[in-house]
Amino acid sequence: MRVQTPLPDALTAMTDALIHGNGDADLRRAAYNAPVEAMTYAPMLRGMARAYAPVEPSADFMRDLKTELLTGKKRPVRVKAAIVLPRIHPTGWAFAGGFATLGVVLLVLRGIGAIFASRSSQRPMARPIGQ
Amino acid sequence: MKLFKRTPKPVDLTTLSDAELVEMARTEKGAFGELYERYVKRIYNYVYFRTGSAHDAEDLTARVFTRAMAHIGQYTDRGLPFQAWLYRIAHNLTANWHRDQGRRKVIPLEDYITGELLGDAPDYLVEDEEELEMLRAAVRRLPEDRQQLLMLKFVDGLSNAEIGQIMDKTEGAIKSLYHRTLTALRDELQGISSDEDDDTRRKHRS
Repeated sequence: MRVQTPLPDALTAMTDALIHGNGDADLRRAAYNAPVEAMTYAPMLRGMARAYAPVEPSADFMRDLKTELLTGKKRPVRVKAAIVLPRIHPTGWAFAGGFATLGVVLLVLRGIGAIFASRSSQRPMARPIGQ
Repeated sequence: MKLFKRTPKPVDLTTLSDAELVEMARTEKGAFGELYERYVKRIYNYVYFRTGSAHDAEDLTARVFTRAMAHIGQYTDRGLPFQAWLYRIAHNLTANWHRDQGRRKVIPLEDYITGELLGDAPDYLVEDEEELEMLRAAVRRLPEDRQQLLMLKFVDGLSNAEIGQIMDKTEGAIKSLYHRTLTALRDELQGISSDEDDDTRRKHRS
């Protein structure tokens, strides 16, 4: 009589086969002897393997960080700026934009005020009150 | 009398074990460089999938190795391999990052980029990416330790024994936790898909 692999063991074996083996074929091989239920996990395991496929860090980042660690030479400012800039909260950008707009509006109003002031000084003086 | 002083042969660092490199790294930075080469991609991947942002992954990876280098003198291998020690640093820094992010919600830049790029992609690719994103979202809703387990399994491809060393649990406990995690995830995904089916049926009726 064949001894069935317990489900937790089968799931671990299926995952390891999927990640380190030849994909789907090895996953099915690992599920052989496992309870029928084990194969209901297979689509999800395949999805997980695709959703979390390893990514490659940039070569510049790896080289610069190694230099920084081994020589104490800091990473270039552009690298740090590239890390920091996208993390500035949108509210921060909104505030900065708001202040800039307000500054421009105030400058325009001041300019308009100056034009009117120069025009009114060219008009004849009004008669003083009480005369 | 010796005419020439014999210079010692340079050691090939790639042939040394982690434990030997750690011993050397206490006095020689080159040895730490070899450890860095061995683990930088793994740590980067772990942090990348835990944060969802390449910029934060670079920042946190740099912090992990800076901290490891600063404290390597204090590290002693009492049944905790260097790899597990490094992952624990990465885990602690990522947990702090999540705590800080909880205070201010920031949408990773990649979300916009992926969204824009997918706009031009064929339909089947968009659907595929939508499904994968649904899966990632379901994983993000899991408790912290289960997310860590899935990352170490799928992203870093570690065995249950290695994960046990990092998470301070036995191999059997990890196996059992993995089973429970997958079952919870499968049930949640089935719940989502059945909700979607109900919505589709309702739309067809109306």
